[in-house]
Amino acid sequence: MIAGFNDLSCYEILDISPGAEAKEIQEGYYRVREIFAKNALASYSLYTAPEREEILRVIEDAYRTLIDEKSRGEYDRHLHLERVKSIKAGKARQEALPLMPREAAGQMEPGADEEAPPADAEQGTDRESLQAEQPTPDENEKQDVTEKQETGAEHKVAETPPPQPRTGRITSAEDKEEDIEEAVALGREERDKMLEGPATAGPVKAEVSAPPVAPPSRPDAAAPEAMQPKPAPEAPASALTGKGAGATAAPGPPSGEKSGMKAPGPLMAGKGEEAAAPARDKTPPPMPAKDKTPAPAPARDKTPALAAAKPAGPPVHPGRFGERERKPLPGAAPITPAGVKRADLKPPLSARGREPFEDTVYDVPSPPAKARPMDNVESGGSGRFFKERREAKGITLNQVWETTKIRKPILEAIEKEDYAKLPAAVFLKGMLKSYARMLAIEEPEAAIKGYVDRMTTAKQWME
Amino acid sequence: MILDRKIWALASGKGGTGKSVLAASMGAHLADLGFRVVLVDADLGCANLHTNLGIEKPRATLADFIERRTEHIEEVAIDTDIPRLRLISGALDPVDAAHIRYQQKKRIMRQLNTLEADVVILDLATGASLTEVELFCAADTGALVMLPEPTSVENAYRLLRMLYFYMVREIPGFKKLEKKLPPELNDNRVSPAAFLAEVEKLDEKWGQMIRKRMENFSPGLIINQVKTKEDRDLGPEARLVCKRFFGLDLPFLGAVEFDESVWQSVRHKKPVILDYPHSRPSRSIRQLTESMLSLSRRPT
Repeated sequence: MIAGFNDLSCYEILDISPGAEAKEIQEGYYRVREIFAKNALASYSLYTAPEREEILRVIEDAYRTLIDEKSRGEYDRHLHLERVKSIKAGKARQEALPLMPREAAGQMEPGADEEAPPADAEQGTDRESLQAEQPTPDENEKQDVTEKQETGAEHKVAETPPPQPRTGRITSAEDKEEDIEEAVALGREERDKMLEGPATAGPVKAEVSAPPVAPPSRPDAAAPEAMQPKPAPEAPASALTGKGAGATAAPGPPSGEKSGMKAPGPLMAGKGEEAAAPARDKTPPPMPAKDKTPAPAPARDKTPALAAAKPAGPPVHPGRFGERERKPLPGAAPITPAGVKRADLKPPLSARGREPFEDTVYDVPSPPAKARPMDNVESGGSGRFFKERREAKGITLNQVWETTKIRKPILEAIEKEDYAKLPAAVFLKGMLKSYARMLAIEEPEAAIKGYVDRMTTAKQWME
Repeated sequence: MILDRKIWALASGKGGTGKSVLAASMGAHLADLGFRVVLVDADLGCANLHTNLGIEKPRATLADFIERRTEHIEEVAIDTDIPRLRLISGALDPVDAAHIRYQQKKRIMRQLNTLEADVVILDLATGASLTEVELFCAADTGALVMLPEPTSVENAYRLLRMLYFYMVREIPGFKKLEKKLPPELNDNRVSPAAFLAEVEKLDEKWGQMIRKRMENFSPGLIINQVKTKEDRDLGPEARLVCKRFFGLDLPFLGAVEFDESVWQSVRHKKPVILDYPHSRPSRSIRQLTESMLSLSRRPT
């Protein structure tokens, strides 16, 4: 490691605040990378070439850690653990370490959601909602801890976090690494010390089994039931009723889920869509157990309908489409068959012959039979090239849009090489330039030139 | 108003960065704000701060004081056309004055502290020679002037590096520690951050001592003759680099634009701030003077 970068957190390396949003992380990354770049004026004459490379590597690592919401969450927990340790050791470095500043884990999560192609929505939703669930209770708890550490004993037992549905916790406790658990445990100890009350002292399991707050509208969500993992086949049945407690069961073993998935039914699909929605939207906790927990299991259930309706073809853009579906009522009443029909029972595109919504991007022009001249143009940067680079960095289209100000339809057209939707070459060049800059492509000129050349040829050919 | 930091030093690694022009204008602005200011032309080799203030031949210079023709430094401070602003001109005839001995520098600094003034601005000579380093470290606070050019940036960092190690060596008992340090730390390329890390590994107490000593050392950064937005960004960028390489948090005081008004005012032998008060450089100089003021109010 390079001296001066040793004890820095990822946030300090990028010269941003611990609460920075994705956009700030991006900008900080550009800035710092330029400051320490090879011919940068600001760091001129200070570092040797290998040192510079090392620094740039450190910067890149920090950026990759922070830009990915999941690894950032883990990193934040790790930082928190360090901090708790240092407090325990009696040398708190409060300024240096972030105090779990982000309110919720998933400020960017909607963007990440949209990123997942719906082709694998059944796994996607599942994974994401799990991810979404895991950090939220943790982080809230930690925030409480830090708050308490700062304000001392004013916080009384009454202010301990209201018992929350912990189903997500159980799964998380299983698959998380030791240190994270340790962090939580340490944090808890710390808080207990602060509170000096035995009331909250207790092992993890005790809190885990705390009864979830039943939403007033649905009093039948009983705590013990919520905790009992039920055989998955039951889930669809109870979900059909719309508010069965069984739906709140923790996700069963994969095989069980699969069997549940096979159970067809438009109603189920609607339910799944609805239930998944609040989880994705990050409704702040305390969250009704229903809204949170059933998300994984029934969400999968929409697949039969989806799979029947849409053959696994070109990935459908889930962007605004997803938002529209996410809107629904907080009460999560069963959706009417009509609603389901609109949303999920679309016949395959090819059968209908035209787009269902103007914002779903299906319309990649079907490749003509004969070879097209633009295919002969030497490919510098293809749409796929940009897409792969972007995905390798874990950047979503939304983030690209935020940073480069290129509208999403155009970004999609760029990646799909949908030439008809692309602007004139002059404008496209500029866009690609900023896009390439964001992705830190080594030789942007070649990539841009290749792309623009191909597009120009294609447009000429199309005329 | 009494400032906690009275003596300000202006230094730069490379010549022609505009220290004298800045010093004259900063002094004029401070005097305008109501402070009693003394400008000291500490460039003993080739002084010309007096010319920037429109004084053709000062009746007394710092050389008179150094060679003990006068006992008190107050006597060589001459009035200028600007109320509340006085000047101690540098030696006009560069005799041996350019190489004054340590004792004499001590004497100068001691007497500068007793000057009847609220602010004393030291306009140091170019370069990172011992005289400049000693005077800079003896001042209460200071600023490094650099241009957005690699040559200037390089020399500014070199000066900063010299200042850093000079201050470390000044800590009593450092000689003993130095013997224990690995020889590769004497390399000119070793960054202060690496040096400090090495010292801390060896002796934690010393690490703390150096840290404590360096806490008070925070000269500001001034970027002069900026032409583009990127030039201006050099300030915060250099600040970050200093944090990483030197482990120092140096405040960025401000950037001064490259402008025709500056060379014209030099020809008119007037501080630009009085000659072209509405020009962009004048505005920037006023701003950076005020940010320097606010830093000087901070308890040391």
